[in-house]
Amino acid sequence: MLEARSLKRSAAIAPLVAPVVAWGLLMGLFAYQDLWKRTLAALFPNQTPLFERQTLLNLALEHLAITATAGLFVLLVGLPLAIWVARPSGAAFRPLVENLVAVGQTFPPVAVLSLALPFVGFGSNGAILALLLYGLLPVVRNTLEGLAAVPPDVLEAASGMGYSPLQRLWRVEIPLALPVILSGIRTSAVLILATATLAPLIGGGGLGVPIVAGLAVNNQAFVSEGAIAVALLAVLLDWTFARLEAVLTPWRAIRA
Amino acid sequence: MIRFENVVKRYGDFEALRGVSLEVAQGQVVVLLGPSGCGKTTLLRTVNRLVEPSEGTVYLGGEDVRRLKPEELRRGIGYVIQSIGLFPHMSVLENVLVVPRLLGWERSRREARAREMLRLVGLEPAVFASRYPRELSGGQAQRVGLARALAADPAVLLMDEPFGAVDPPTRERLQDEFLRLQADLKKTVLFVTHDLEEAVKLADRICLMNHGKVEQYDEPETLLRDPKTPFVREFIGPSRTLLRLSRIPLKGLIEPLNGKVPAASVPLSAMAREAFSVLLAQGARSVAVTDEQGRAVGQVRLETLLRVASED
Repeated sequence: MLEARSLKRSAAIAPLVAPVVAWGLLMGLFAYQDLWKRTLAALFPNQTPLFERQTLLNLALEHLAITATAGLFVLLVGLPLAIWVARPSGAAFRPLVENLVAVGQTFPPVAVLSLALPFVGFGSNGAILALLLYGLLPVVRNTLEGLAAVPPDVLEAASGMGYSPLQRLWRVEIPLALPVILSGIRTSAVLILATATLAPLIGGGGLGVPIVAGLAVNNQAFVSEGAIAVALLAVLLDWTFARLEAVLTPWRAIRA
Repeated sequence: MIRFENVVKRYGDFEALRGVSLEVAQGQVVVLLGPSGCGKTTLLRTVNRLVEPSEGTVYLGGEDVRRLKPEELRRGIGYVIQSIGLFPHMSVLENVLVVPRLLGWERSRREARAREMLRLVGLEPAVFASRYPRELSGGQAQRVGLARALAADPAVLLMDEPFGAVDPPTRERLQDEFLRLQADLKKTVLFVTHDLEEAVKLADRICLMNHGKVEQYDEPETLLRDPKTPFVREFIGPSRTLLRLSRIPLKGLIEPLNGKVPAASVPLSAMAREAFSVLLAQGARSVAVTDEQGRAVGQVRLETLLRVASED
C-alpha cells in the first residue's frame, strides 16, 4: 500500500525531469561564451561580437532573479487579492480591483518605470515594482475566472457534506480553479520575463543590459545576444509551466 | 426522527413553502413527491440548513436543527443530489473519505470504511478506488455518490432526485439496490422525486406536495387507493391501478397448479405487476410462479390480478 503510494507519487513528478535537464543545458549554453562570440562574430562581422562587461550566464541569472522576485510578488499580492474579492466578504471591491489591475497592465511599463523612479530610486527595485503592476492582471483575472467556473453542483455537494466555507475554499474551490490559475501564472511569468529587459532603463540589471547598450552604440550583436537569450528563457519557462500544470492537476488527464 | 413544524419559506413575495408540518419516523423511507416547483427540494434542504426557513422549525432526532453549526449538522447527514457533485480533483476513494476526514477519523479507519462502502454499493475498490470521477459512467458515479453519503454512517439520508440523471435500466437497477441496502441499513431517508413510479416503488410513505403545501401524506397503497384531493387524483392519474399492482407481492396470490403448468413464468419474489405484464405480453390467462431453483410452485391467474387491482 505504502509502496504503491510512493510509486504513484514518483510517477507523478516524472514529467518534471525533462524541464530540469533542459534548464541545466540552457545554463550550460549561456556559460559557453566562446560559442556565442564566434556565432555573433559570423553574423555581425564588423562589430564587437560580445558584450564583455558581464558574462552572459551572469546576465541571465540576474534576469531570472528579477523575474522570480517580481513573479513572487505578483503571487503574494495577486492571489490573495483575487481570492478575497471572489468571496462574499470582498465582493464589493471586485470591480475596483479588476479595473485597477487592468489599468496596471495597459499603462506602458516604460512609463511606470520612469514614474516609479523618484519613489524607489535607481536600481532593480523600481523594475520589480513596475513588473509587479504589469504582471498582476493575468493572475488576478484567471484566479477570478477559475473560482467562478467551479461547478455549482460541486459547491452544493461540498457544503452539503459539511465543509465550512474556508475548508470548501481550500479543499475544493482552489484545487478546482488551479488549472486556470496556473495558466494565468504562466502567462504572467512569461510576460514579466520578457518585459524585464526594460530594467536597465532605470539602472536594473539582466539581459536588457546588452540590449540597451547595443541600442545606444548601434551594435546589433549586443542586441541579438540579449534578445536571443531572453527568447530561449521565455520558451523554456513557458514549457516548464505547461509541465507543472500537468503534474499539479493529474485529475484532468484521461488515462487509458 | 425528522419533524417539520409549520415550515414556511419565502423568497421575496414568492412562498416556496406555505406551512409544512410533517413527521418522518425512524428507519422509514419518505418520498417527497410533486411537480417541479412544488417545494419538495426546498423542504428537503431545510433539514441540512442549505435552506433556512422563514418561519417554523425543523427537528432532527428531537432537536432543533439550528442548535448545531451548519457544518456539524451536515456531517451527520448523508446527502445525495441528482447531479452527484463528486469532487473531480479527488479520486473515488478520496471522495468517499470526505466526511470521515472532516469528522477527524484516523486514516486507517476511514480508508477501511471507504473501501467497505465502495463494496457495499457494488464497486470493487481494487478497480475503482484510484479512478477519478471523469473516468466513471453515470451509474458508477451515482454509486460513488451514495457511498460518499453513507461513509460516516449517518442516521439520516437526504436524497434529491438521486436517480434522475441516469438511463432507465440503470435507474431501475439503482432503485433495486437502494431497496436492498435500505433493508439492511434502516436509515431514515427523505427522498425527493417527481416520478410517481419511483415513489411508489421506494416509499414507506409518500408526501405528495403542490404549491408549497402537503396535499396528502400516506402509505403508497393508501395514496393510490384513496386520493384525498382532486390534485392527488389528477397527479396519480389513470396509472394508479397498475401502480397498485407494483406494491402487491405475488406470494399472497398464488394458487396451486392443477395439472398443467402455464408456459410463461415469473419468479416468486416478483410483484403482481410483473406477472400482469407477462400475462399481457403473452396473451395468457395464467402464469407459472417459480422458486429460486426455477421449479414451478404454483400459478397466478389473470382474474386474481384484476380482482386485487380493483379492490378497495
